[in-house]
Amino acid sequence: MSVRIPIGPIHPMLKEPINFVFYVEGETIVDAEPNIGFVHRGIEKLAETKTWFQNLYLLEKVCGICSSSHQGCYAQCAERIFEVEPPERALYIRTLMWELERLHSHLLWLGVIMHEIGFDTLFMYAWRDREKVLDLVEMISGRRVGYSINIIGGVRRDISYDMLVKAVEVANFIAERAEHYEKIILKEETVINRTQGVGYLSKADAIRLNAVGPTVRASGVKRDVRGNMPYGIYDETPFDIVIDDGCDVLARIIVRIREMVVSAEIIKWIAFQIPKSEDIKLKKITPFTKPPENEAVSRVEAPRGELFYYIKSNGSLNPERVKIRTPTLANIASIIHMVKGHYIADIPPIVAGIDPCMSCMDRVIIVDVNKEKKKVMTYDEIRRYSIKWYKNNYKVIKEERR
Amino acid sequence: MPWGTLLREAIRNLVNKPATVNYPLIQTKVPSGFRGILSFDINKCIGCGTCERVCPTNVIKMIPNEKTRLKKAPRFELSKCVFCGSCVDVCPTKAITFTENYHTAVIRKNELDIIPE
Amino acid sequence: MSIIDTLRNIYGEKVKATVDKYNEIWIEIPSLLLREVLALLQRNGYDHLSTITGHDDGERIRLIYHLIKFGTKSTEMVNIVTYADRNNPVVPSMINEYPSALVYEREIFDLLGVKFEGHKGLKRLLLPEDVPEDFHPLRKDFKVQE
Repeated sequence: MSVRIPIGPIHPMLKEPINFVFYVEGETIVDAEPNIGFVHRGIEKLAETKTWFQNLYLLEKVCGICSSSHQGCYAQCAERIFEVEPPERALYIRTLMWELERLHSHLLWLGVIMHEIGFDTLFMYAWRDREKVLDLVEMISGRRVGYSINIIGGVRRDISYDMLVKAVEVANFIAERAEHYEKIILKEETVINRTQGVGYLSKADAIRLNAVGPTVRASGVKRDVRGNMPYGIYDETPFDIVIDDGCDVLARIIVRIREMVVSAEIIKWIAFQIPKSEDIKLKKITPFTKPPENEAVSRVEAPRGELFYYIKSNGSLNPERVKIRTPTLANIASIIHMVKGHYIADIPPIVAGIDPCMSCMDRVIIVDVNKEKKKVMTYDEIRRYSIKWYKNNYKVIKEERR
Repeated sequence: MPWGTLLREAIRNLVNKPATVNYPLIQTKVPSGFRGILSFDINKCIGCGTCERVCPTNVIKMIPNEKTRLKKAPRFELSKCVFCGSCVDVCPTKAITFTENYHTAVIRKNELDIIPE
Repeated sequence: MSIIDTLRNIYGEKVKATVDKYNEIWIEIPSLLLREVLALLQRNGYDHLSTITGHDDGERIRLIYHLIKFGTKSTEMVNIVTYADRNNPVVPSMINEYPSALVYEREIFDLLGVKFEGHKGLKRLLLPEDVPEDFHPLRKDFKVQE
């Protein structure tokens, strides 16, 4: 049987696959249309053919950066179907890994958004600090990404005293660096010029378009799954929802930096309050246990927003239906609304501002409505174009945005 | 002064040692408990076949073998392995273990296979 | 509990409701009442649509709408279950009340074949454009080739 190989947006020489079509008049954007689905792998159909425990290792590969959130949400939903509660120490370890993942994901995003603006120095510093977090995660779980530590009924590995000491050290270091970055960003004129007033999403629009995650919290709306519908041990930890009233890309940067400080506080609290006990998983749930006939829903706050799982079981060793809704899909409607009226050079910060997990753009098609001309640019070209355009038109923009 | 915020850090970076490691001249040391390539000890295996039933990516296949109690032994195609550790957790005699080897780049896929003699 | 009482007062026996031990409310309604019930919920503050789930159980297609009402003291989570006929599934579209349903309804049309009346621009979201018309992978009679 012969195999058909198409060469499309997914190709070794391209970055990441998504396709947008923008309609422009001169330099201003009038309308936009997203075109997604290039990384569709049929995971929901595949999950119906594997057993409950094999799905743990399939579903952590949905996303590389928020892999523990996917696995933890699936484990939480499956525990609701099996009607069991994991032991206390397991919940503390699970939450510790979730907060460490939030730290390294926000540091990665900080580097990426600074790279879009052209401030490569901060990109390098942020990714150098991220290495400390990844070294700690490798010590706890055995791998730097794809640290499968959750199972149905608890966690797989225990955590030792040395690892807790190192976790407190890393948390203090990252909190200090995050406050340092906040001071730099609010004083640097290039950063403020490129991000203030860009990508405006008002409070009413954010609620109407059902945005999730730091995107909606930067518009002044207090919505966070950990605060409104606490799961696990979040109703006991020292946790506050972080909001900001700016409604633009600068506010999203400030919200994520402050969330890093809150995560460091939670990690220190866990290291001091973790209960001393021996059991980290339930012995009665094995890879060959059959659940009752049931259906359940579970939500978790991933670094990008609200992650949603729905699972239905029919009493056999395979689940009948697994439904996943990632937070980036919920924010796509907001991108379409946010880009209207902006220049082409503002596209990279706006799209990177919602922290797209499944993609950035790889190929942008710009259709000039007045001249009926089509231009295709790759993502690298549009980033260099936007940095050069802002350098040439600096004074005009400053007057306009005052 | 706005240009003084990063200046102190930039000067400090001039005298510090670099943040990168000169791989492959220097190999990175991994911590204990690292999940590397699998290793298999035929003398401890009893041939129960539980590892074949829990593997999520069909790496393990039981083939006939005289050395084990139930006359079967696993054959590993490690080019498909995702290093999840299900087989290590579930083996009753701990015949399958992780090593600290992370070099998985080979020219042909069957160079990584483990076939029990 | 007050939303269950409100719905029972208006619709009586046509509405079946349960509350499970994780505080999720499950309400089952016939598909003719879908637009009225969702408009009523939206007026009462349930303004966040998490997603729409589609599921083929062999006899009918089940659609579940997951809604949240965020509040300062407590948050309520409601799941509305409705059914569509398997051979000709047609359901009214909700894009006027919930604009985010634009993307979720396209996904269900793509993978299960359910048509939403009133949706402008109902085309495939995830699969490529040149697949045949009746190619809906999440249906139970769709066999994956080896």
